[in-house]
Amino acid sequence: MKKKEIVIIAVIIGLALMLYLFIKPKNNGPMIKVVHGDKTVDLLDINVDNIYTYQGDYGVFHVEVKDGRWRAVDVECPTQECVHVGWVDVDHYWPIVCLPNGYAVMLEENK
Amino acid sequence: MKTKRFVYLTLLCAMAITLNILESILIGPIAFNLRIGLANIIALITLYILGTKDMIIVNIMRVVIGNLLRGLIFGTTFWISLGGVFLSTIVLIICKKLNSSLIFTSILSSIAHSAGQVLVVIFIYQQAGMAITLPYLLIFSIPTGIITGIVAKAALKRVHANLKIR
Repeated sequence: MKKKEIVIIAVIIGLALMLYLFIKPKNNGPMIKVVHGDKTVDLLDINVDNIYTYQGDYGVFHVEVKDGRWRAVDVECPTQECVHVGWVDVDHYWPIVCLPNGYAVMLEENK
Repeated sequence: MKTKRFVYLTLLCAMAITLNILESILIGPIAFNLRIGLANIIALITLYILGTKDMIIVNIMRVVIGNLLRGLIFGTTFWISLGGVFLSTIVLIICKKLNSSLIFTSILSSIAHSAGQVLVVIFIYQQAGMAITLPYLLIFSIPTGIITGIVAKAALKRVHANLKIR
């Protein structure tokens, strides 16, 4: 690799770090939202343990909330990618996205 | 000459599609939604032995036929992979024009691929909050880009020795 190229990659790493600090979710309440397509279909309280069921475009989509954490579970879809993400919580946050069903589970950010 | 080129092009398309499907079935995401992107190796090889035009064909074929074979054509997954491939193809073309090194080209195309995918996800779900995955994907794309670059380099070394297509 040339010197210039290493510099460009360093700049990209710097940019990623800046983005990381910049787009941290703002002080999040105890709510997560379930999104289907471009609409928010449900707001869930992460302090209430429950399993929620949604009918997706492909099959059934379940969201389990327990001890302030949440995960996708028992999802009818060919890829199972959302299930592999596993448990997430406010500190270890990752949007859970199920593409075949068109669902996503994200933090509800305070405005 | 032309026939030979076509044969190579179809072989490379087949390899890209196979790698694409194999990766999604056998390896899957390494962590969260992060993948290595093995099919990028073939895109790089095509770029260097056949040229830009054929690389675009291989990339389009891999998305269209790869998703067709998995039964995901024109679904959300299809548009997301198309977004990733679109951006990475543009980066590959620019890098080739600028005569960048292979590893660098690979890293940048890998980064562009993840960025393109995230942008499409943000657009489909209309949730700017999805951008939170972007920094992780950008950083993670660098090692995967290096891996695919090294494999492509090793493959090109062996292929170039007995290849006269152009």
